[in-house]
Amino acid sequence: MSGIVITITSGKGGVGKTTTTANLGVALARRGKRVACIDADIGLRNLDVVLGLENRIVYDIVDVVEGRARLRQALIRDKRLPELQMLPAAQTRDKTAVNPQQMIKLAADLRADVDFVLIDSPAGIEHGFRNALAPADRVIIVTTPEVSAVRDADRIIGMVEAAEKPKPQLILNRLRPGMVKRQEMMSTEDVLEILAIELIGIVPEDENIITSTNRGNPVAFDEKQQAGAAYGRIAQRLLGEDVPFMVFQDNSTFLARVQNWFRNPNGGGGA
Amino acid sequence: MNWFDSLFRRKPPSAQVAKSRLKLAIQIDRSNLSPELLDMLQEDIVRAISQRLDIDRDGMKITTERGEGGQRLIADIPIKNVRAKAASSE
Repeated sequence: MSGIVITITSGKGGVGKTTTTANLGVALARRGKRVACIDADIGLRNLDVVLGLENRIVYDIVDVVEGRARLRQALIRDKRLPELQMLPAAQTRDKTAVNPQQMIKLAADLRADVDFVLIDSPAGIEHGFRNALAPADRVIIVTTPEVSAVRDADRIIGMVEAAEKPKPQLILNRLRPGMVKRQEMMSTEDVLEILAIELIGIVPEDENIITSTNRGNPVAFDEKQQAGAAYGRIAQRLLGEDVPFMVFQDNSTFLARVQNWFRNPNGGGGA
Repeated sequence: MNWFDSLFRRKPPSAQVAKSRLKLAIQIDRSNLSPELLDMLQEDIVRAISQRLDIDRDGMKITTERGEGGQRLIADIPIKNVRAKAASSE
């Protein structure tokens, strides 16, 4: 059986593409799927630190493409989760070091060995994005409920369609239920009405994402946390399960923080 | 804003403002006429009008504007000399 290639992209930078890629990789691998995450952001490598694998890099994507290393040599296997592997981006080259044909070839080679290939796309609409999009069977767009991120997401959706890829699916990231309730943040429904694509997940703003990333320990390892559970549900949807969308609790009030602390004294407040 | 809001100087919720601004911005993004298309339109207009009027090509401006009634194309074309061309065409 051949693996599925999923490209995670957004247009705008800083909305959580890399965090999403890392956590979906972990969540899928925890469900026994063989996963390879590719960092396609050449020159601005980051997936390695988010996954906590930065100390084990020997070869990178450009070494593979240019024949200095075999794919299997360059892939780093996660010791915590042997089903999960990562192919790092090159740090000293730029995005033109790889072209879309090479990405298609690379993905084809990986497909043979894994169930999922997750490609972490760079921000923007240029060369790096084209590279990340070229081999995609499916595309996931990450956005936050902010005007700039949603507007860029709309542009990207247009480009994904122009590239004749299947209609992308949406992850709404960093939703703050308390703000939505006060009508000071666009709701999931608002964003979906504007973008008119299928929702595959909602990830609430959660301080645990920052603290877990600080440690190189993606939050998806701990599905007792709100955000970790959210990634778990997205993984299940990717596996074809019909999982209902959660209604998130508002963690921003004082009472919620106190309740949260009793539930999870070590995990931080969670906003 | 309704009378109640304006009485208490209350602004509409920011989420609602975000949504309506976004809708407009995206509508423009999706339908934007490219600079190449505008250049081509300008050439067509120059060709058509120059048959009857002597116009100032360098002073000419083609823009688009979006308002309540949708998008419109605005051509601002300075006329150099009406009589010269009108006479020569007879």
